[in-house]
Amino acid sequence: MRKRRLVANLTFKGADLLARFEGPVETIAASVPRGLIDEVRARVGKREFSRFVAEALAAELISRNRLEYVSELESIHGPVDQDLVAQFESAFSR
Amino acid sequence: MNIVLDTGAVIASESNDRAFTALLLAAQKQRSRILLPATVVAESWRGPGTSPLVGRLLKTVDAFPHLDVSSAKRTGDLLAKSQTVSIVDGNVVEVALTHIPATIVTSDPNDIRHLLQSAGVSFDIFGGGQKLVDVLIVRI
Repeated sequence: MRKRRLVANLTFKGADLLARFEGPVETIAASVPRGLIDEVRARVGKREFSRFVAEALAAELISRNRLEYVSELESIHGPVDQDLVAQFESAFSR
Repeated sequence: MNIVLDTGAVIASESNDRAFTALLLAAQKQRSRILLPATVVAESWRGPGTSPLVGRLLKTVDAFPHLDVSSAKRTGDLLAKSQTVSIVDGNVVEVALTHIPATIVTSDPNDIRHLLQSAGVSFDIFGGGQKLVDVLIVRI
């Protein structure tokens, strides 16, 4: 039987990357190199492994969505102003 | 850095605002988190008539801070201090103040500036008056 439980409504610090995704938690099977699993377990421990994976999936999904969205805006409005990008990057890195 | 979008920034996403595109790309490169307060979603979302670009913008957002009792009280405190009434503007500033270091992206810097000054927060303005989207950098 598939294991399900409700996603906790977590606070922002560290965990709310997951809070934006609604619905129950599902257990999945994925093929991952053992060396990678070992390194992640060594870093976060057994209990936090699922959260680490879920946050990594969320971050990658949002990152890809963002790049696709930028490409879409560029197709509508023209190439992005790289000087402006650099100015924003400088501001965000403070 | 956490980047908090207000309604003007969301509107900019559907208009010809190249500054907004540059901002998104810079956020991506700097691994900044983009936060869109749920109150801003309420002010921006108009059902099936909403621009598809806005719908896709939501998929690029890291988190949608919601208005619970605690954040509602903090927002109300800000409105009282600033003697203003915009719950959305107040909540945008409240979200930024609870996620410092933060940058507020707004098309209405005067109201945001007034709220920040009322809160007694020091801040810098980046790009003010040059683009459709102005950026306020909050520093504490």
